[in-house]
Amino acid sequence: MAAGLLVVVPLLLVAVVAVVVLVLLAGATVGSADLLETTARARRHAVRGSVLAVVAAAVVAAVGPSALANLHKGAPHAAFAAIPALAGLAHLAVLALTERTWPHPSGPVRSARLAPRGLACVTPPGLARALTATAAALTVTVVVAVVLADPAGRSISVGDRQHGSSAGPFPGLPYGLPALVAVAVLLAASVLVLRLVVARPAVEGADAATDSALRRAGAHRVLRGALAATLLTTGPLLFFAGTAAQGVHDGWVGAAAVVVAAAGALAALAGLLALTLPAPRVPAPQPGAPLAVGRS
Amino acid sequence: MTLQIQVDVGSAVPPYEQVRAQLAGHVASGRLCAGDRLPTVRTLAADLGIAVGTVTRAYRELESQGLVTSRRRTGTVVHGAVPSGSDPGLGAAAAALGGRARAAGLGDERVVALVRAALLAPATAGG
Repeated sequence: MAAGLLVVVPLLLVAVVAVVVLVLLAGATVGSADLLETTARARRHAVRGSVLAVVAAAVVAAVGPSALANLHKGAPHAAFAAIPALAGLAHLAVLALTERTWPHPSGPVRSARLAPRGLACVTPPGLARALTATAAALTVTVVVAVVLADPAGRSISVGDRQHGSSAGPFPGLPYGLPALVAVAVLLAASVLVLRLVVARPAVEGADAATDSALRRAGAHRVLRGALAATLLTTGPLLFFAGTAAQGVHDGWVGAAAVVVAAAGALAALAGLLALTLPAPRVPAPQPGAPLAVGRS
Repeated sequence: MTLQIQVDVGSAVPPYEQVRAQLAGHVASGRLCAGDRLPTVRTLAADLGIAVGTVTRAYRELESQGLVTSRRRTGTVVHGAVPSGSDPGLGAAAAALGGRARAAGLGDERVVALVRAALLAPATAGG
């Protein structure tokens, strides 16, 4: 099964990355003619960073499993569960670089709005809530799985050694802890990159609405990647937990385990779909609207 | 309407003084009121494309004038305008001067030079 996954997962990744890149590039080309040159350039910079971020995440996700398989021949390595979050970190690293290299004001006369801005102004509330809920679900999944797992933490058993049954893989401590730690690091890094989105310079000549839309789009990309990585961590853990539990339990417990496994599969699918959530559009500039920054 | 400030990096006036003078002007005119929060030093420096230390110096001078207060939690907040004296018509006269100067196409430095010249005149006459 592990060998099959090593073939299927990279193929699935290539398909998802191709779709995401096409969606991002399509979004970048629509309506550019209505934007100021500086705004269009900034948006191209953002889209280029977004595409590179998805590619970086895909490379980590594709290379990670085979690298770990080469390191640990035989049983799947426990750090497999952390690969989606590691891919998410690669995604964030490229987005952070994009924000750090954002075009700076260069004209002799520059202006700035005196409105303070913070995380609340740019963070999409729906994505933030979904990310918080998914992280909470992951924590609950790992805690429950650690309690139910065998002492070794890789399977679940019912009854004693002679007459009982055992099933795995089960996300006990060896799988759950790396996943939980990696997602915690991912969430902390997401907040740091959101701060970069807030602090980066406003686009020269852009009005306040355009600047705000560009920042919201940047924050959307950050949270979209983090949500996808967290869902792709939580989903497989739920799926394997449910599948293993269904193998050793009958009756209503077994039925509940099937529901858990199905929820895990749906969460993983939602993680892939989250990557295609379109970022907010940048509006055409309004005549007479206040500038966000600089004219020369 | 969103307030703005401008910095001309080619001007003879240092950028920190340009920032300080414009913020002080907004406070004196009442466009920035007590309790209004200013952007963080880093945000303003990034938007203007100038060094963080430049904005820090401008904010520090405003704080020493009693126009703003900086706290770790709340950031930099407008404290209120320094009283301009007993003549309430001064503000209106300054606003009228500003309006006429803009209408005549005069730059900030030229207007300030005119005001300085007007302030020097009584002293010269008296001395």
